[in-house]
Formats: sequence, structure tokens, C-alpha cells
Amino acid sequence: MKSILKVFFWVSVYLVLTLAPLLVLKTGQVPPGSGFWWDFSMALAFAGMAMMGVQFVLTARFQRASAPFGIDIIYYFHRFLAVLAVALIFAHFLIIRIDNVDALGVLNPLQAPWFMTAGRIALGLFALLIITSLWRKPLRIHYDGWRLMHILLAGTAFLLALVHIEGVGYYIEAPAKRWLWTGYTVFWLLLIVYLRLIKPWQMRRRPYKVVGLTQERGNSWTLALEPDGHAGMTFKPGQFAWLTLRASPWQVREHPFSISSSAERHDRIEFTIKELGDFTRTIKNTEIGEVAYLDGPFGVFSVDRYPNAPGFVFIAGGVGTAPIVSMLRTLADRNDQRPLWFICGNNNWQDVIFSEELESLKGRLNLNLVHVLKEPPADWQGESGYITSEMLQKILPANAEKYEYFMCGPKPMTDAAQLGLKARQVPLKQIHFELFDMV
Amino acid sequence: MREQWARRIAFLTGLLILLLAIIFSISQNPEGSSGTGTNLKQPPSTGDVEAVNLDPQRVEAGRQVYRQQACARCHSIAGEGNENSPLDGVGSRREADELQDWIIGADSLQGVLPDRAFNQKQAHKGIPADDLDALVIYMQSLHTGLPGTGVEQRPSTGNVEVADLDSQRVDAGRQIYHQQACERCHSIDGEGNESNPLDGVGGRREADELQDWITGADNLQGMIPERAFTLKQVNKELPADDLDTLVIYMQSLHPELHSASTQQSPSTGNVEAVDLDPQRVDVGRQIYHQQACERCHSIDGEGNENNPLDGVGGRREADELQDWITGADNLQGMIPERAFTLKQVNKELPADDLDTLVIYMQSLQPQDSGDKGAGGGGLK
Repeated sequence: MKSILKVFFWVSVYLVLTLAPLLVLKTGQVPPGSGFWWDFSMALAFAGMAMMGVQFVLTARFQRASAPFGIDIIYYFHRFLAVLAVALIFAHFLIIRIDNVDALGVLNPLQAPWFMTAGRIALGLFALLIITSLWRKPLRIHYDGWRLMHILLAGTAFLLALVHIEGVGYYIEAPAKRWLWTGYTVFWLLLIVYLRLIKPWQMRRRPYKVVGLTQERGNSWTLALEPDGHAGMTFKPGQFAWLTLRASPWQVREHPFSISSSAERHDRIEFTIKELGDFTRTIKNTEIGEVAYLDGPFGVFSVDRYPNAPGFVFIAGGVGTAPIVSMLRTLADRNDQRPLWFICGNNNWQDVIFSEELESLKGRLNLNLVHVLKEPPADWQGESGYITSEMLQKILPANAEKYEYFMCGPKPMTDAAQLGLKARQVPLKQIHFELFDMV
Repeated sequence: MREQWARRIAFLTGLLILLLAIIFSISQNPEGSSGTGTNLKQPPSTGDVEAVNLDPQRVEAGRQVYRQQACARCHSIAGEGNENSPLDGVGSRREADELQDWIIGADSLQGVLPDRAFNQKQAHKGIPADDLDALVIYMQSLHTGLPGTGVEQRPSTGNVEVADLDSQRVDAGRQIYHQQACERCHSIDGEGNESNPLDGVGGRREADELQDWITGADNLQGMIPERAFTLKQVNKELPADDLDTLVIYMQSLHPELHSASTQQSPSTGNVEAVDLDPQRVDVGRQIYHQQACERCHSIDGEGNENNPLDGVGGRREADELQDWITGADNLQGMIPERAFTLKQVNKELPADDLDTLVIYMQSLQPQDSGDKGAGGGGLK
């Protein structure tokens, strides 16, 4: 119940922040009407800008505000809203363009008023922002470069749009509105200062040291870190953190990874990382003793959020095993004897990460381990092929609808698994997964 | 599950935004006032006396400059552009040099124009002289028809009974009323912006008061909303004769002649005062003090002399008085916001007390020559 209240509270905060400009439009001295479409267009633009402003807050990774939802969903929401906000801002432009083209004046920036030019550039940058984010991969934009570009583009576009609002000056003359926009601007400035200066500085004061690098099966590496001169972080098993290696925290070159070690061990934190992209391919070059920085923990993908569950079912594919192993190790350290199922999908036996440790965990936990191999060896007795809905019907326990489900893996796999769970009447709210790879 | 909620909340946000934006635009552009724009939709007639002398090429060049400078961001011509400040007919309202002053925001206009407008116009000082000239010529071409041609004949409500008002001047005044675009903020017979109806104003105010209200005289500062006050300053530029004529038109708007739009005429005589029960007047005075009305008002120089109530009983009907005491909705925007808010308190008065307070107000009849004397006397 308490968490529902928290959800309600933060959603309300979000709605107030977004709608405030529209709510105060009618306060104070309002200029007389300028025609329905004109006023409608202005209102849309104010709303679009407020939404844009909230975008900065959403991705600021405030732990308290994101905890009830999971930071992954906040990023998902961020992406959704961005499209909506930019659509509103474009509608603002298009309505004036169609209804009142003369009001736009000349395009030539040498002749046009500066604030109109500012508005035009902002419009272009917002469009660029959306395009580079929705299609980063097809456009072959490097993740680190994209992040830096994203921050700069968003900041510049937003600032120029504010300049445009200030220069045009409609509806912001009344003190309430002036205060609102000044307040927003100051708030956003402080947010940028906090995010880009203060927070990295705090991270820098809590460095970690690389104490181990182990090659795992399936082209993966386990990186072990120890806190250097502080107590480390307390996390829930299954959570993740942003990792910075070979860069200062100010350089925004961090990458999110699942923690794979037990939450009962604070002195040592491990990440299991598969070689997939530009950054992950360099993990193997990490040297013992190197400095690392962490921002976290984040995420709601954890058994600790469901302390009263009668048991858990884990479904993972490939490196998706990492957060599951963290949960299994933690439950073992706590000597938790609730029934557990782990359906573990891989291409072939050699690629099964932690296969030996999973076997030994069976001795410490009430664990039913089911391996599913796409390319099984000749003498394989277990399940083979892809994890399918039909396969789940066979594996799942009789009272499947009572358990909590954690899924982590490629989308076709989780989609198929979801179908299987639906067939067994497992309520949607008992199925949990981390959304990743959104950009 | 969580994505569904995220999508729902995003969708809800979008809906709320659209809804609020539509509500805002509709409330900004009620049926009555949007008529203003459409009335002006007819193309600016160029065929009259002064306009004949304008070189069509220069007019065209001026139109280009108008477009280049994006004047339509704040102005409209024939309903195109921001209908806040229509320029239709500006050529017959202002001389060439005045037009230029208004375009570039000459120093003489500081305080006359809203600050923002004034500041924005400063940028136009950079327009090349030749372009500015062309722009002025274009403005001159925006000529209203000659008196009697531009506006359709409306059912004349004014001239029957007010025998001493010259019906020709009333008509001329009506022309000026439209020329000055008074209907942007006012309505007559439901035509124009109905937040400030003028129906019956001729029965409520004396000629000199009317003139003060038209031009935004200094004594009205603080009494009416700042924006209204600023806008009214424009009328100070009207030629004396035109102003006179406009006042006559206002006088013609006599409540007795407007059976439809206004209720009973606020009779200015003190006949009614005779009927007032002196006991209730006394109780009303107590309520007046109990509600601390003297915080904002004065009677006989006692209290806040910003807003003297002397003679108010001769100026307003009982129901009007009640509206003013309680800050009825129709006064929103007409009186300063703070005053409006403070008055809301009186809505909590028991009906009987409110009645009694109204009776006390009715007892405040003008002493001899109307309320002006009483108000003026209080100030000295």
C-alpha cells in the first residue's frame, strides 16, 4: 500500500510539473483572445516545453523518485514523452504556419528577429534529438558519442526555446507566469549543475578498485570491484549500476550493468559482462588495481520486493543469467528454502554461464534447474530448441499462478514465455522484467 | 505491466494537455469577441480620398516590409494575424508621422504602449528609412470607409428618447467606436467582448465621467485593471471633436432605451432613498464597520479615500450594489483582482445582513451636484 501511495505521489508531482504552465495561463492579466487557433497553438507550445523540462528530471536518476517504478521504466517513459512533447512543439509551429504564416516573418536569420531564429533552431534541434535517439543503431552512432550529443542537443534546444518564449513574451507577463518560468529555468539550471558537476564529484569521492577479472563461459567476463576507502553500496539482488572505467565521472562515459554477486556481500561487488559492443569488448583489457566509479543501485528487478512470495520462477537467456545468479547467490547466503525454478536458455552447453556454480547452488537451495539448449550435444537428455509456451506448460509447477516470475533475455524469448504464463493464468503483475537496450 | 502504465500515464498527460489547451483557447475567444475578428475580415478599402494619392507600388513594398518584419505576430489586417491588435483602418486614424512613431516605438509612446510592445518596437528603429517609409504608406492604405459606408446600419437604439443628442453625432460616434475597435473589450447589445458591456452606460455616468473612462484619466489608475488603463491611453490621441462625439454615442446608450440588454435603469434621483428604513440604515452601518469596509473605502472622508462611497446610492441600483459588495462574477476583470478577491468574503454574509448593507449603501445619496463633489471633497 505504501508503495502505491509513493507511485501516486510521484505521478502527481509529474502531472503538476507538466501541466503547471497551462494551469497558470489564465491567471493574472491575460491578453485578450487572439483567435482560437492562435491561442491553442501557444498553449500547446507551453505544455510541450514543460514536458521537455520534466524530461531532464526523469533522466536525472533520482533514486528516491525512481525507486517505486524502476529506472528502466522511467527511461521508457522518457522516450514516450519525448515524442509527445516534440509533437506538441511541432503542432505549435504548424498551426501558426498554416493559420497565420505572416506571423512567422522572414526565414533569413540576418533579417528575422533573434527570438524567431532561436525558435526555428530549437525546432530543428528537437527533431534531430528525436531522430538520433529513436534510430541510433541504424544511424551507427556510437553510444558514448550519442550520450554526449544527446545532452548537448537537448540542453541547447531547450535553452533556445526558452529564449524564444522570453523574446516573444506572450502570456508570460503576469507575475505568476514570470515566476513560474523563472522558477523552471532556475530549477533546470540547478539540475544541470547537480547532474554534471556535483554528482560526478560525489562519485569521485567514492571510488572503487578493480580487484579481479575472470573469464566466464559464453564470451563473458566477471569484473570484481572493492570499495576504496568507503563502505561500498547496499543493493537488492538483481539490481544494476552505471559503471565508469578508464574515464573521470565528469566525462559521461558510463554504462549500465547488472550486478551478479550476492547482495549479502558489501565489500565486493561483481558485474558479469558479455562482449557485445564497443565498450564491452574492452572489459577484458581492464587491469587489476584500476579505478572504477559506480552510480547505483537502480532497478526493481529483485526478489527482495516480494518478501511474501511462496516461491520464484526465473527465466533467462544468455548473459541475462547475471542478475538471476545474483538473486540465487543471495537467497543461498540467506539460507532461503522457498521453492525456486530456473529455466536457463543458451545456444550450447559450452556457453552456459556459471553452469558449475548453478549445479552446486542446487545443494544449498530448493532449486529446480532446467537448461534449454538451442544446439544440444548429441547425448543431451534435457530440453532443446527455444523456450516456448508449450515447453513452459511442461516445466511449470502445478500452482504456477502463485509464484513471482523474473525474466531476463532476448525479446522473442520473453514474449514466448509471457504467452506461456498467460496460459497458466499467472497475473501480469507477478511477471517482472528489466527493459534494456532502449537506445 | 509497468510499460502499460507508463503508456497510460503518457496518454493521459497528452489528453489533459489537449483538453486544457482547448479550454484555454475557447475561454480566450468566446463567441462574442471572436466576432470582432470576422467583422473586420472585409479587405481594407483603398478607394477613398486620401488613399488615392498612395503609390500602389510603394504600398506593395510596404506590405513586403510588413511581412518581413513579421508584424502579424502582434497585429492583424483583415483578420489575418494576431487579432489582439488589428490595424484595419489605422490609416484613417493616424497621420503619417504618427504612424512612424507607432512603428518604431518613439519615446513619446513610452508608457502609452505596454512595455513589452514598446520594447519590441525598438527593434524597428533599424529598418532602413526607405522601407520604413513604404511601411508607413502601407499603413496609410489601411483606410476605413468614409463615415457611413464602412459599418452596416444597426437598429438604432439610441436616438429616440434622448432628444437633446444629435442623431448625426451619435452615428458619427458609433463610427469612431468601431474605428477605435472598442468592441475588442466592450460590447453593446451583445456585440463585441461581453466581459465589459456598455449597455446603459449613458444612464450611469455623466459626460465628463464618460470621457475620463474612455481616455483612462489619471483618477482611474488603480481602479481599473492596469492593462485596461494602458489600452485606454490610446484614446487620448483622439481629436477633441471625435472624443466629444464618442461621449455622445455613449450617452445615447441609455438604459431606458435598452429594454433587452439591461435591467432597470439606475435612476440617478434620490426618490428611493426616502423609502429607506432608518433603523436598517443604522444596522447596515454597523455591518459596514464589522466587515471593515473602510479598509478599502471611505464615506465622508472616513476610511480609505482611494475608493470613496459617497453618493454611491445615487449611482447604482440595489442589485448592482449587491454585486459590487460581493464581487459578483460579472465584475471579474472589471475591478482589480485583489479587490475582486477581497470582496468574495462578503458572499458569506447572511442574506439579511447583505440586504441591510445594501440599504446603507442606498442611503449614501449624492449631496448636491452628484458624486463627483463628494469624492473630490473627500480627497482635499
